[in-house]
Amino acid sequence: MIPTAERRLLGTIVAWDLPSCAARLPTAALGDREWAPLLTLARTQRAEGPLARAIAIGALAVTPDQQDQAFAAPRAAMSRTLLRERDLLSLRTTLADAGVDIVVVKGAATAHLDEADPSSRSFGDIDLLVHPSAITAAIGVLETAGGVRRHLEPRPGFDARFSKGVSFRFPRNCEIDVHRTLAPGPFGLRIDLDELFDHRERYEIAGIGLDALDRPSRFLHACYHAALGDAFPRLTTLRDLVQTTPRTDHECRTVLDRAARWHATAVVGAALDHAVEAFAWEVPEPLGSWRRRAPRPAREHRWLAAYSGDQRLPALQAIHGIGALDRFGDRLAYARAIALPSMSASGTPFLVRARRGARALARLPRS
Amino acid sequence: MSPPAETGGTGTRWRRSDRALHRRVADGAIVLLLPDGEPELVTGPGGALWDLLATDRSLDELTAELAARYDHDPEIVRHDIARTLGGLADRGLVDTPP
Repeated sequence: MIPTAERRLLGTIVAWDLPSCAARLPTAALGDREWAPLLTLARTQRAEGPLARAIAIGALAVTPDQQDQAFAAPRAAMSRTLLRERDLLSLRTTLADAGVDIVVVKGAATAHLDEADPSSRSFGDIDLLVHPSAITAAIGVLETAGGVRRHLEPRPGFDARFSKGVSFRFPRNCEIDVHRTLAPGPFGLRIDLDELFDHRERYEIAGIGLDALDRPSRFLHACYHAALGDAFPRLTTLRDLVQTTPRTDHECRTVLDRAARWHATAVVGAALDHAVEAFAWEVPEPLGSWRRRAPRPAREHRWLAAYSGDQRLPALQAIHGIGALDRFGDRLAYARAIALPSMSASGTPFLVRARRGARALARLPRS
Repeated sequence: MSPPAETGGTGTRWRRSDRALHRRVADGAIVLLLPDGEPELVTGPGGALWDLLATDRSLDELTAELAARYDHDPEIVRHDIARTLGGLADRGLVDTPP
């Protein structure tokens, strides 16, 4: 697939102030036919802030009308971001009172830890990592607070043992995602969750302390998000990846050690490829050298194919998930939950699920 | 012109409230007062004032900095700042350090 012209240009805008990105912004204002899709894409990619900043600093030439439109766009995005931040601080207290320890992930953490100015990074959801031992308590707190689960638990115990996480919808278009792990399917099942919780970074919002993942895990999280989603990852995710790239040999060794143990080497390689393609980014050393000679384990590549763009097949991810589990009892429980969810949890008729399963099995290698 | 009474006179020092969340936008700042405030847009010179209030400043200091930046009559700038500061203080968005 080939990225659209507006995606290429927005990539340049999102990356223009990042280190090692050979971004060249146009020197003349765009025509309205090119401008309109660019502005629409900036909104869907949550890149209104970088677009307005590039214009305000004079790096991107625009007409007066285009400037008015670009400057208006971040107001809504930043208002939504502040509402989410307000909700996060309130929720942190409520969960702490219930004995639930949280780690803030994605935009609400990277805005403060990885950007020189948090205004460069907007976000629309609250994403929290909760240890499996506290998932049930966290779900109880959010349901009591009025949250509505987007998907029911397929079998009792699945949330705490196997799921990527649970999403809740609240009024005013607020979504709170409680993550058990950082990725769906086999990759998420191989992550050492205790290790994630053991390595954190503290930050403050309005004098209130919050925990985030440490920088190596933030980088790996951005890699999972970039490599396991759409054919063209969200540009803000790729910006997060560049901003959290290992800065020292020690940090690079930590990242690659975790990636190897978590079976995520191919994920890191694929995510770096995306960032290089979108931003004309020169991956800094020593990660750049690693990328050129990176091992691409066959099993990880089979897993990765189940997530890739138009070929992505959640049923195949689930089947690979069975193979990612070490213990026979876990494999059995996981397979039973995905193949035979309880009647109350399954919104999809059995025959439809069976067809999806058959399609997924047909994609498995014969050998 | 003397500043409005709510700004507490010329010797009082001001800063953003610890309970105020904020983000920059191109024409000012979006601010929100915890625990249950709503986002508000502070535009124009108010945005510049908000930036300066990252650290404690007196009305005199704010006036000197903004009058120089905008090349305006200090007396007029002082009056505008005092009025804006009073509005921000009424909403709890700025306060006086202990």
